[in-house]
Amino acid sequence: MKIFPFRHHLETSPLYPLFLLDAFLSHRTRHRLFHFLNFILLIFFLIFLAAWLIPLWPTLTAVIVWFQPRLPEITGWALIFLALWLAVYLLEAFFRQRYFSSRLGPSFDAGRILFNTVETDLVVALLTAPAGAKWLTRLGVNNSQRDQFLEIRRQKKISTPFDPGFLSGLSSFVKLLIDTQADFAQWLLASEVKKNEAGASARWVETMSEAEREAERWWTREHLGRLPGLAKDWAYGESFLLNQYSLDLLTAPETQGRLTGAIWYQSAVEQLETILGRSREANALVVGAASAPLEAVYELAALIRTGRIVPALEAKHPKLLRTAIFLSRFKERQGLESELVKIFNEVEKSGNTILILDDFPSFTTHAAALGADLEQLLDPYLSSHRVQVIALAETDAYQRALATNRSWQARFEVVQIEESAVQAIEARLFEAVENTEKRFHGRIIFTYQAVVTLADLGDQFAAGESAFDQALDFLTEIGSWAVATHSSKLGREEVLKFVSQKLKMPLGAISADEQEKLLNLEKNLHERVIGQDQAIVAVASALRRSRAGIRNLKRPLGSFLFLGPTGVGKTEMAKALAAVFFADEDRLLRLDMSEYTGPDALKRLIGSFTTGEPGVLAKLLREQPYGVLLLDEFEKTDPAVLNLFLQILDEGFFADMRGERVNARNILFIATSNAGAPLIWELIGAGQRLLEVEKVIIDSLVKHNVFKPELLNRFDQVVIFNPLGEGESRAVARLLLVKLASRLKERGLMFQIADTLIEQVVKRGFDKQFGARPMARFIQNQLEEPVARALIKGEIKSGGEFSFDDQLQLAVKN
Amino acid sequence: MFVISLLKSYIFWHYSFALAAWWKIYVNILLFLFNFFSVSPLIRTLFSPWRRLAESYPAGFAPGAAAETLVINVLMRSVGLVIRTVFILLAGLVIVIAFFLGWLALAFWLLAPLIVLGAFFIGFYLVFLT
Repeated sequence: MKIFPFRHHLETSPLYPLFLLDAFLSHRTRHRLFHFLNFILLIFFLIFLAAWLIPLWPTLTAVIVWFQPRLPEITGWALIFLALWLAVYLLEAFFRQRYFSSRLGPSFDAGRILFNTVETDLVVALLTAPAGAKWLTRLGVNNSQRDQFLEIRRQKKISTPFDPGFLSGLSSFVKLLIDTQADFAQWLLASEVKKNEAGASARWVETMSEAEREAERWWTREHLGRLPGLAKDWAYGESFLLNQYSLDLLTAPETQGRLTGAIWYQSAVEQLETILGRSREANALVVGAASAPLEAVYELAALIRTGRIVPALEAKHPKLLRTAIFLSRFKERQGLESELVKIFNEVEKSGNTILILDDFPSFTTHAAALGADLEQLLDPYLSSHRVQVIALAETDAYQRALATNRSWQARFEVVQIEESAVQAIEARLFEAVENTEKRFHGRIIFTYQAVVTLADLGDQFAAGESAFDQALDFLTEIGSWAVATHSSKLGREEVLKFVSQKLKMPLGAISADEQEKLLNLEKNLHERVIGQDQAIVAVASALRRSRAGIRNLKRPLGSFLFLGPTGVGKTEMAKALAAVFFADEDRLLRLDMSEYTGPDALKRLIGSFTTGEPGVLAKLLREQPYGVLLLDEFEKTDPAVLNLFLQILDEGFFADMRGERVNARNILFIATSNAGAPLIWELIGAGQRLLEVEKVIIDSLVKHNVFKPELLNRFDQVVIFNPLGEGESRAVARLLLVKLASRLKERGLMFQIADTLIEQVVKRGFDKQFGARPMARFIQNQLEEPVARALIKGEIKSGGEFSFDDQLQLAVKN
Repeated sequence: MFVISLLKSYIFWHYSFALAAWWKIYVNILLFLFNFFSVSPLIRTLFSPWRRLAESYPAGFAPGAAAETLVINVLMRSVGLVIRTVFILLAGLVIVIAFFLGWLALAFWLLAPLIVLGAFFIGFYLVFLT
């Protein structure tokens, strides 16, 4: 006879009868049995129907003759199956009612492990129970890892003492074991599972099984309330014109997936209920980051749909007016004003519309640009008791366009939404992940770590949209990717691999190739940048920190200010970084900051609020949010632009003219400047070492008001570039000639580089003041030009070999 | 022992907590039907024009136009009244049926354990003993 060592601890639990039932007939078995019996009863029903209909056709007497004597027996079987069906149904009803009525008490999933186990060791009991198996799957721990551990653990013959805390929930069950069983905690760590992940994953498993059971209870008020009333709208008017420009959040197909019913912006939704429930001036202005205000409105719509709203809003239809689309139809003030008045009249007349105006700051600004005075136009409506308006605004745009406007402030009550933390994004993602798994019919499964990583990546890469939306975008695409690449279990690494492939940016585990590249970064950079040892070491170590995952994710990938004379390799270093770190020189974005001077500089970079023209910097970073951005001649730009970079370098984002966020957290900023070059010359010329002069140079820049100290502090590192010496200039000359040779080789021409040629290039091309740049020009004019002529004349043929002598005369050996 | 213990808990629940749950579900369903057929807004707006379709009275003294508007508005209210009344009657019928079905369900519930036993034994008798 089996002994169940923990059962007696549960005898007083209100769930005890359910454990008994579950041991007798499990939830899953009951379901299967119930479906099977449904099917059998359907067959009996059809048999009886046939028995009743057959006598109507006299030709079927043979069937009747066969059927008649067997009727009692068939009826008997039908009654037996009916009794079984009813018994299973009653037991299921018993289970559900007791389960939900004691939901706030002890945990069913945790209690079931204690009830069913014959093990004295609760670690073994957990890992061999169905709930434990689900928990391990969600942590990405596979069966063989578990079995290996179990084998060792079983040999220890441990008896775990009972603790009432085990019954609080699967999560506390797991945490208690981790706290008391060192080898279990160690094994989890070795399987790359941290304690908080173990607990949170257990909570997730438990929530999922609870939600599964909850979904079966169709008779609850929440479930029944989801069916909309048939005649609720009969007392209200139609709004034909508004319908052309808007989406009804309750009925539009586009919005259906968003009305999940989960409330994340509790405080904002409650405030909206209060404001909209007022008798007059029931208008709210929801202000928050990115799409958070719209999400709060979706949550309000979900409450209306499920009937969980205050009575005053019960029959309301929130209709979202896409203001940008609406505005795009009008070129003149009159058209806009008259259409807007018609819409508001419709809203007033319909009686059940909550008008939602998205991107309200842009709406008012663009309308003003057309000459329309929205404040005056809408005031009678906004102050009346028959119109309810929710305007949405992104925080920065609100601050810029609306915060100081008294008229709007008087008509709207502001509802501020705090940005959701990564933890809140995670919580919302769990629900989305479950839906994604269902959509793929269980062919893919996400681990807990994968969800957390998705939330982090959403936060890191969110640009115009909210972090949650970005994470959701990744989630939507990763499903198809997983099916295509036959990855059924998606863990942290898979998510990183997908996002890394999508964004063409190194993320996740460092591959052997990349490892070599990172460890040899200095060497790789030296292949392209001559000298500048200190600069290369500084940049390389910053990049390694970033890739190793110890950088601050709320700031740009890296930011450097390269100071030094012209032609010493500053730009080349930026190019080399794009090539080495992003494996693609095209990832180098470039802005000549000397073009952004004057009062309109900032507008040209972030866009103009009045003309609606997008800014160069905003556009550049939206199109390519990952890469190296080279800011040439940084010191020459306008002070307002330098102030913008104060924020960008500090927070990793800025707001464009529409107030929409532009993400710069995945950009490596390299600002170059010649400022201080004469001083560098002077000090180096006086024989001082670079390390010693750094402080002097920076102090001088601050003193001469070239850069503010706070801006210099925002850079990860200010790197001073050496003027090129003679030895270095020779190496640069060689490098430039080798580059030329390799370009010619691609065309099948062999260019022999003699040492004398290098000497000549240095002698005639190098200029101390302008560095290597004149050498490049010299090579272009004095070497490339004759080669081009010779090629055109046919003096050099494909496969031909040539060189230059010390008089720079071309010598061809075809 | 195991099954007896389970049965004891079950029978106790069947005639205690389950009855309270029946009442809750019964009320839920009746309320749901009441909301689903929008009875309350329909009664409240019984005499309102159908979908707020109404014309505004002309400004100034225009008895002809005013009379025309009055006729149209009365017509719209009548249409609303007729459709709403029919719908309210239909809803009433469904709710009354549900009301009685609920008590029938309770009677069935009270007898359910006996029905299980009865169906099983009669079935057994018909199959094996006749």
